[in-house]
Amino acid sequence: MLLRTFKRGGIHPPEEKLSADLAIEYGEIPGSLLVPVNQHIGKPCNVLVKKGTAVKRGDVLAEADGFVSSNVHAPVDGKVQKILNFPQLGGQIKECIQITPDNPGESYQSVLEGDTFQEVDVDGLDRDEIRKTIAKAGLVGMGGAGFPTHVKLSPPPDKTIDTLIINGAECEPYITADHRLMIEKSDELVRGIKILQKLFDDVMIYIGIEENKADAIETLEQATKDEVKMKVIPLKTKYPQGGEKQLIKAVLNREVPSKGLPMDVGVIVQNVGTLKAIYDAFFYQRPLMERVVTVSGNVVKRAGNILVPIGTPVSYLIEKYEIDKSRIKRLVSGGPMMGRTSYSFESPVSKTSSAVLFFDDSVYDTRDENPCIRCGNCIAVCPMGLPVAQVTEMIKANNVTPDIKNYIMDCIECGSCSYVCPADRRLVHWMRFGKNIINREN
Amino acid sequence: MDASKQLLVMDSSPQGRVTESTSKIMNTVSLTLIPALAVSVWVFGWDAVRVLALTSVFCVGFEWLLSKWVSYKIDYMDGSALLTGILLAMNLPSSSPWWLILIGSLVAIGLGKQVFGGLGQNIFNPVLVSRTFLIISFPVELSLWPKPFAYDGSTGATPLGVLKTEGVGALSGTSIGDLAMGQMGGSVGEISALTLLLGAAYLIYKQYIAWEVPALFIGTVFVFTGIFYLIDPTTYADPVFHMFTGGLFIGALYMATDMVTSPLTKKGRIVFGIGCGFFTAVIRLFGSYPEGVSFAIVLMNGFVPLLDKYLPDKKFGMVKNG
Ligand code: SF4
Ligand code: SF4
Repeated sequence: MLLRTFKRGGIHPPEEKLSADLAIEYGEIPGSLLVPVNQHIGKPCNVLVKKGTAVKRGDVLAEADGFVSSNVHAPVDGKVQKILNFPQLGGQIKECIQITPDNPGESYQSVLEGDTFQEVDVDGLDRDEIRKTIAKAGLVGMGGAGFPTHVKLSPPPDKTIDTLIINGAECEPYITADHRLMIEKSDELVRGIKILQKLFDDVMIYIGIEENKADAIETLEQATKDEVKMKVIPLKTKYPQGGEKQLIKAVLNREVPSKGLPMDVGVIVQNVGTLKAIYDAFFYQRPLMERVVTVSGNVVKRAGNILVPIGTPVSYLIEKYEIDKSRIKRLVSGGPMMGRTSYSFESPVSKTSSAVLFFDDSVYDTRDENPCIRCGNCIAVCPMGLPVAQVTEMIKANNVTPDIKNYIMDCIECGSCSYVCPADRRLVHWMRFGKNIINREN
Repeated sequence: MDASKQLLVMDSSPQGRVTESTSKIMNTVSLTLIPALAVSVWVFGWDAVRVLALTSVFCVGFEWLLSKWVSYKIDYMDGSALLTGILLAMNLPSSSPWWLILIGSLVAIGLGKQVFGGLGQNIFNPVLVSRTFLIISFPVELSLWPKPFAYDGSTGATPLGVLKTEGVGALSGTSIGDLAMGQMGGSVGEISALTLLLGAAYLIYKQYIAWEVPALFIGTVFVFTGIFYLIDPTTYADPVFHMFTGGLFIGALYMATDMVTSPLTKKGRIVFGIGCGFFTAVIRLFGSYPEGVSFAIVLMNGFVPLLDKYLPDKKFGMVKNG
């Protein structure tokens, strides 16, 4: 069978999915949690608690300010210890609410078992009600960007949405969090999809999954076999297929216009983790307070996928997985292609942390930039068709003309260009630098 | 180590990278020239080795000297200077005197590469800049091509030279098989089309060079000279002769494919390949020099910035809204 994929550019880095066959496990409540106040793209939230406030699991810690913003909830019962600025996974310093839990060490599984399931009459749900519930639960895109889900699900009236794509590509090396969810929680995902289906008239659902996850394809095909408007689309394994524009091109062969959004071609893309959170929000009244994180890398003795409360520090994972701290040289949050390095073991897991990876010096090294030898590889692999070599030269020369700006703003920061550059040029870095120049001008 | 004092590496994404590097590419290209060089030694004897050794030492040496001198960083051991040296040797007659080689190397490294700002910055292929310079400055030395298997210093014209001066009738004795194997007069490296093809095939397989350029280059020469052969076979040599003589193979496979001086995109490379072929054929058929490959490539090198600018890849999302 000819598998679908996007046509332009792309690479195939080693997959390294060490934790693909390992079931999602449950951790314990850590001794202290650091819940970041802003885990979304949009307006910052208003903090509702202060030092000493006693909070119950599910309480709103910080409230959305306006429409494009997102609530943050207390993942455990406890007391607010402090509100402080702290380095996040990914390096930035952000405001965090430190919570000392009432029951540290309690198994998170037993906490979850305390929640009661409540059947929902999906057909009886009203569209505004659905969006409101999703907004209240603090749902954001869990694939990395963190765009508030209710905003994404509220396109302006002049855009007709005819297709919903569920992003099960998980094209980054190492990460298997979505993969495991698709295998272990397929029925929950389908019920989550059915809620989204209610939002749009006559909408078709495609679940795009790369072929390296054959078990997930099979499980979801089984779970959706009675659904006429849901279809699993196996995709050829290629990075960055999980990029929204690439995924839409692969699944539907529709091309999102430059500077446009998926809704311009009638599509909304949702991540697998977000769908599971939608299910939890409706059937358990559980806001987004936890997520599955892949723990992997070359210094871990055993990799894994673990469900932890948001705010769990990396040091908890290090202890849980018995990782030899002295061997860790590079701490990466997210996959190795787009993930950022971090410098604190106390940085917390947030709504968007799909993986925490631990490496020593042997896998990746930091190299100096050499002169561009004009091999053209960066251009050949750029999924956005950008003249990367020339654009980055212009950015370095601080010569950002309107033409160059158009190119820069189309970069999805996938890192394919840097990945193939024989001269070790930091092309994505320069692209980001260019975006900063543009932002400063505005 | 005390874990609490340990520093973590901060780095830009992506973490991983391919295992390619500039020096790996340059050295691989150099290595693939070994079969062609072996044929040269077989045909021209130790003189070929002498030329090769001198160009290599001079080119790397000049770059080393310049690295002490200029303000920017020059990595003279990155393999690019060595490759320039080897390719320069392949473009010279094996009878070249040492001073000619010295001047050639200086021109290639200095004028061809470093005046532009070093690796990656030059517009014209350094080897061809040097060769063109030498042909114009020392026409006598550069028209004395050693005869194959003579080993005694006797020289003669290349088959293309014969064609230009004496016409197509004088070529009746040449066999295409001999030409393809390299049994003809010429520069150190240009003679054996088959071994060059072998080396280049490996580079294409490794994706170090783009197949479009040599295929269209050679193809265009073949078609263009073929048309004139069909019009008048008594004035024009046949296209197979044109394919296997002179510097077409080394030019198309190793000079026109030089990453630095060829276009960045596929579309650009297609135009570039056809352009090189077209000008080669025009110069060979109508020009006053017997051989046109170097001139054609240098000419097309000059167009590369324009090709890069006006033939970019299609950007994703250049569709009508909705
Ligand atoms: S320029 Fe941007 S979109 Fe293109 S390959 Fe590089 S990071 Fe990806
Ligand atoms: S991949 Fe690197 S060396 Fe090659 S053209 Fe791009 S920037 Fe230049």
